[in-house]
Amino acid sequence: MLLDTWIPGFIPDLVKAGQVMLALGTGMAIGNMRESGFSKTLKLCLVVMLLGLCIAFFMSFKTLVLTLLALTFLSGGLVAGGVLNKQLILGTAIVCGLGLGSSVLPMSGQFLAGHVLILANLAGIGLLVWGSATLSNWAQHRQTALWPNIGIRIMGSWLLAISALMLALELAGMGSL
Amino acid sequence: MNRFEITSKNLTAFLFIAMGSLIAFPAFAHSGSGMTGGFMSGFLHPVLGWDHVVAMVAVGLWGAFLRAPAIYILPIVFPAVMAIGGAAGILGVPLPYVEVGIALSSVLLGLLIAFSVEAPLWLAAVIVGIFAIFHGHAHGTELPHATNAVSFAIGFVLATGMLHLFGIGLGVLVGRPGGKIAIRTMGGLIALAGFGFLFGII
Repeated sequence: MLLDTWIPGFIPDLVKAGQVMLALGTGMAIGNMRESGFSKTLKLCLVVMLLGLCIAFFMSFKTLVLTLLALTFLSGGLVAGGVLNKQLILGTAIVCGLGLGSSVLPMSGQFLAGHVLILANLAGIGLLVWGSATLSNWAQHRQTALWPNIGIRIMGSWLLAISALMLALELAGMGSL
Repeated sequence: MNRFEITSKNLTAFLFIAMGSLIAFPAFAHSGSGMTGGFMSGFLHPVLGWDHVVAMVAVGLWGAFLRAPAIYILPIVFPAVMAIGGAAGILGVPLPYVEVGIALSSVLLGLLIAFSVEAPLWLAAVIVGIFAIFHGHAHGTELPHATNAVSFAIGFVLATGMLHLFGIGLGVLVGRPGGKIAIRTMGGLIALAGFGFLFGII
């Protein structure tokens, strides 16, 4: 029973696409951070996600999907542009972490399957952020070949493009998120 | 080994994968999963229009022709700006002469390749970005209404990226014996195709 709740909890139905994209974008943007600040920024983002979850308990976000897509657009832009500015990456990690944390609570404000689902979802998103951040940081700062770096930047531009299209479809009332 | 050196083995594998992707994906269109509903709809949107295909391949080709960093900056710029054009199209923002702009993209990019024009990076990015808006807008306005936003957007962007990669794959031939002439000839053919689109011959 617990496992049945745990597995779908990794990605809840309501905002899964927006969540996954933002988790990947956030991780890849954090990966832009050079060695000295990388671990701290990643840890900070994960802590802020918890804070976002706490905030979501007291506030309802009616435009959560749009917010997630807008944040994905931002983080994708940072990755595509190869932005290395420490403050900008830190700010993005905090804002995106808050967005991700608040998206863990179902949009209706109800506990769909109780606390286990929420914890599982938070763990899943955290894992996605950690994985993509580690991969991105390796590709950009920890090896000498340029192709992995290019691959990450192209993926960033794809995230940016996909989120822009999804935003437009949502705003035009043609989305199905 | 130079960071940008492409070995014959890598190139063959790359072209095989890129071509295989382009050939194999349309086959899924007949799986009965619904053309208007999602990934395949988005994926096929850029692939089924020759005017789009030619221009996207030309972007990759020109990027490879200009070498680093254009080889990766142009394929980064194009989808990003194209999506913004697509968003404008979806939201009903008018843009005049869209079809002319699309045809001109093939003409100009083809001529730039054919005449081996080594434009500075910023200019290349601006040229590609301007044309990307026309392509994106056309896709945005032609979007089927029953589309699933997520899967359509993912398919659409992936197909565009693969067409660029295919162009880059062809473009790296420029470093091979006779490769430059072959690429310039391709550029000429792209420009001719562009004229065909412009005057409604193709």
